[in-house]
Amino acid sequence: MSVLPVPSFLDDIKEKGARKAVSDLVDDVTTRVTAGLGVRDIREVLRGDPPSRRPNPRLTPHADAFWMHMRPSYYHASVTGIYPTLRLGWLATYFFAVEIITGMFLMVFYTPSPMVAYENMLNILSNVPFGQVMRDIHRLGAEAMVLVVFLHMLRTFITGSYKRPRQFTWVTGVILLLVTLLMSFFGYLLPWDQLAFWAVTIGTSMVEAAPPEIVGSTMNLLLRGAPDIGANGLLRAYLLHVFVLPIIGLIFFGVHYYKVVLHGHSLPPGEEEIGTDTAKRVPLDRRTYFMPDVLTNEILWIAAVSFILTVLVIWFYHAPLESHADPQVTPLHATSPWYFLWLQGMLKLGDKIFFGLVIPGLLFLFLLVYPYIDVGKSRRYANRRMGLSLSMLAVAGFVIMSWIGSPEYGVETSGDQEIVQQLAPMEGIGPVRAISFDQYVPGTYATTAMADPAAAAALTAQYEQEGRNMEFFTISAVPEDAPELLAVMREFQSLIKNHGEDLPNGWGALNILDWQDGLKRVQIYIEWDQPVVDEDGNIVRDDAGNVIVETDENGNPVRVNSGKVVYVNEASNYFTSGQ
Amino acid sequence: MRMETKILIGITGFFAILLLVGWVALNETGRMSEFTSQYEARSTERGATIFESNCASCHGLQGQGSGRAPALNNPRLFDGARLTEVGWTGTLFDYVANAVAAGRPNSGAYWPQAMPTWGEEFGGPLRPDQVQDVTRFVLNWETAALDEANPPTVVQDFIFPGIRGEGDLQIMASGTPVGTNVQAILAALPPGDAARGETLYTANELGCSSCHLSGAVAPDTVGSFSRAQDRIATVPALQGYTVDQYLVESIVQPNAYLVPNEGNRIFSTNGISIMQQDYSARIDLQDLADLVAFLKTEG
Repeated sequence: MSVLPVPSFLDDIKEKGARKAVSDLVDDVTTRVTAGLGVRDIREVLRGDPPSRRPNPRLTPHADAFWMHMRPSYYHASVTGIYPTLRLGWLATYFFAVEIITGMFLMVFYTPSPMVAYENMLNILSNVPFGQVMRDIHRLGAEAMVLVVFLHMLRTFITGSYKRPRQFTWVTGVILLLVTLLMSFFGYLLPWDQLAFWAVTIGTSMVEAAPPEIVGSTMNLLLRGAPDIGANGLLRAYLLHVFVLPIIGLIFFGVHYYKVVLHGHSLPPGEEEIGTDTAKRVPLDRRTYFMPDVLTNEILWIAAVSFILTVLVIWFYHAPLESHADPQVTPLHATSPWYFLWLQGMLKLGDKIFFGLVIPGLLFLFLLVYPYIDVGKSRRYANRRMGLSLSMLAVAGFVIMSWIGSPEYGVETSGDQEIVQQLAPMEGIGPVRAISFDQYVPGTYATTAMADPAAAAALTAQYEQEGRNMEFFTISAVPEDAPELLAVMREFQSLIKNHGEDLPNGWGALNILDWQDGLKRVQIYIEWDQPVVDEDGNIVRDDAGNVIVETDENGNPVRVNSGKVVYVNEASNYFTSGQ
Repeated sequence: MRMETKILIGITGFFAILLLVGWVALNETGRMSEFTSQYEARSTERGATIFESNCASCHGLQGQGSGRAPALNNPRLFDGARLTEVGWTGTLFDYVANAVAAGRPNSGAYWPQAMPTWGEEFGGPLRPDQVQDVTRFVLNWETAALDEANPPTVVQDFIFPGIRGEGDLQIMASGTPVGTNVQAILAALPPGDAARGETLYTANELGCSSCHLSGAVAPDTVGSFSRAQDRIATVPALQGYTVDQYLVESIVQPNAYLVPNEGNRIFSTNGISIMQQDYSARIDLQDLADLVAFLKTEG
């Protein structure tokens, strides 16, 4: 017999025949790779059969193999169902793995420089096979991971699993939540589009507010690499996203999972005596072995979740990409990512330092030390009314603060700007661009005439008398064969009506021109009487509640106007693509 | 859940993922090209907006040009004539993008204002992708520009040194270069306009003054007439020359008579003058006559 595998394999063939020799070799290699399970053992595991030989070969990998030694060889049967874990910790791990895999794919096609980052996005979408799918999974996975990690924490709180002896597991979990949020947040910047740039600008703005000034400005400089986000800020966000935070995350994930295995998954609160922890004392008849049950469950879950994720990114979700980041152009209604909206809401409440730094800092600290404060022995729901109410209150507060953070709350924009944004938003499509290309019939259409030729002629005559520029103010009735144009005009009409307060006597027009081959120029025009405003910018009313408008020396109302020009290219396909 | 069910769901799930991925793979080429064409279409829209607010005041809203800048819906831009004129060997896209990004520093000589630099890499306000947006918009005039049945309104054609243009100078207006035959030139030389000659002399297109003004590199133009007279009188090779002949020959045949070097002021090496050798191809008879008339006024 030779030491080398090849001659010994040849000897084997002579001895046993080719077929037996090959199957023995495969079995041998498999046993070595799995640290104990042969081909037959694996088949039995996957079929759910009991082991056919003793000692049970399924326990050896848990003792001898690196990856498997992290997993317990059996679980308490009470924690392997959907309840009480809801699989949330597992899902967080799953998404972390998905993010690493898709992230490495995207990394190949990405350079963290403002000069090329956005171009890289376009390249990923236009020139890299599977580029869009990978980017979509990475983005969707990131948002899902934030949600899952948050829900995991909420579940842990509700089942009281943070209590002794698992306090430190909770602490590492809170750190992992923070790492997840930051990882997602810094990843947000990398596409270098308007969404990224302004969300991160808003998100990092509170750092600068940290007192005293020297600390705030220094921290801001460290984070952004310059007073404002630019090349250095992008590079720092990138390094944090792909290197620093994943490493911190892995370290704390290691500790977190080690503690989970060490203490065992906490049992449903009702299953054990108050003040005892019996998770690790599993009766023989309550043992669910990792192989085959948990392993096959996890494979099933990987298949199911990956399938859902794939379906979502193919048909239902595409990662947003707005226009190139532009520090000169602040988008209307810029927001931070949804999971930081609550923080943006806090900032709206008042002082930047107090609401943006002190309160969130205290909240984080409170979360960290909570298991050491709440030392009540019982994990049962009935005994924890206070704590559970607190958690529900926190969730409600989170939702309300997020709503306050959204543009819905307390952001005042003038009516005309709001209408223009509705009709033809700075980012995205909006109704004006979505009209079928052949329905952009050249002409000027007024919300005061719509499809009525007589009204259009009357308006035209009036404007001619007023000495207006008749190239623009020759009003036409919306043609019958342009129903989509008419629908947009109707929307325009009702928007002006809804903003009647800001826009007394307001009317609007759409002016459409043939501009180039396959290119139309559409001008949105809004005209109204200038309302009188007081020092605070509020509209002044008379005793009857009517809006008072500014008048000129002849006593006529002062007319003001605004609008926006958009161009629509036939090949942009706004009306079919829906994105 | 029974093991069989789990196995069934798991296997179905994995196969379904494989099918989906295969389906994505089949559609990927189409999706990528659709993305590209949509991106370019939207880029044209953005370019139109940038053009309207930055370029239209000189080049015209419809690209027809004005007294301040040439038309961009000009057929000569799209049929290759303009690229040949300026000697651009790259693509039209690159030519336009380059002109937008880097500007045209020399164009101030024949337009009221030089084409500014727009690209941020050259100190302008536009990012590279915005320069591409504008370029796509400008190139979108191609169909209209080349429509022979319905030609576009071109208010203002391009101007190029040495080529017929609509500007003030109109160098080589006749279209026929003057050539190098001094005797034939002298026989046909029309009366010259010294004022126009001075304009030609100082204009950047010919660049005479950049070397000759104050004798920066080449002999000073001041005193040309008297120097010519002196040389004809003293240099044997120039015996029998007229001043006109001397000046014409100096311009169209710079190597025929070489002014001696003066110490470290080198006017020629190995029998080749440092004077540009191609003026005979860049000006016509009238331009030459005007230049000679101007030089004679320089005393």
